[in-house]
Amino acid sequence: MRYFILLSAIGSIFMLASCSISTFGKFQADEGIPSFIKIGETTRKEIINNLGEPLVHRFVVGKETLIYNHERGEFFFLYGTYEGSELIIRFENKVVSEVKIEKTGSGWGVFAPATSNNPGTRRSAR
Amino acid sequence: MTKSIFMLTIISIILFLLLSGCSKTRIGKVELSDETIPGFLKVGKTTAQEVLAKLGEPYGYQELKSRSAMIYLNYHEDYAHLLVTEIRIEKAFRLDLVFEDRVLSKAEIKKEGWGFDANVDPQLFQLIAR
Repeated sequence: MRYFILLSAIGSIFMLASCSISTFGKFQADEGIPSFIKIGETTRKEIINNLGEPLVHRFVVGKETLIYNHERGEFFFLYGTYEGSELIIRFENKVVSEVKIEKTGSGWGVFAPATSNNPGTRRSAR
Repeated sequence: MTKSIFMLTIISIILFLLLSGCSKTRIGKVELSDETIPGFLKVGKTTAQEVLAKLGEPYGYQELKSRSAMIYLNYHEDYAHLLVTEIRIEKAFRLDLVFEDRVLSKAEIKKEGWGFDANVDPQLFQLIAR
């Protein structure tokens, strides 16, 4: 009887357990600014060759700007987290003049996943 | 008998915990839920560069001759479920900034949507930002 209860308990835990990791984007926010990017040296062409086509390519306050995004959602059994970031690269004369990572959102969930319904990741919107 | 009641209580507590959950998500670079414009924004004084430095890259940006506009979004979602009941509360806010010759000429916050146990449509968000 004791073994039956123990096995039932272990079985229940496995049945109720789940895990997932999902990532979206062309750079890894947790690794920081990609090491090949050097202010005053790296060109726009090198950026696009290395990271691919950006989510957004526009001029902001007179400066050419590329935006790459990264989103990561994790869920392990009981607890889930969500984090969104974007890599912003500005150019002067097609050479990097400024680069930074900004956080776009975050969330957590217990027995429920945090949403990753971030409108900022939709290219058409920007 | 006492042992059975004890086991039943433990199982009930575990089931109660397993059948409940909650989550909280915040999206956006600026907190707008109190519907007040950030204090550093002064019409006729604050420049677009200062806004970029303090609030970060805007969600939406448009420039036409001497006039430009930035849009910042802020989205809140709180979700909880307990046994068979679930509650989802969503709120969405938008900060519009208009610049003339790169100096702030207008700043306003709009509450773009709310939901109770229903989604604020993210596609509508996109249309708004465009």
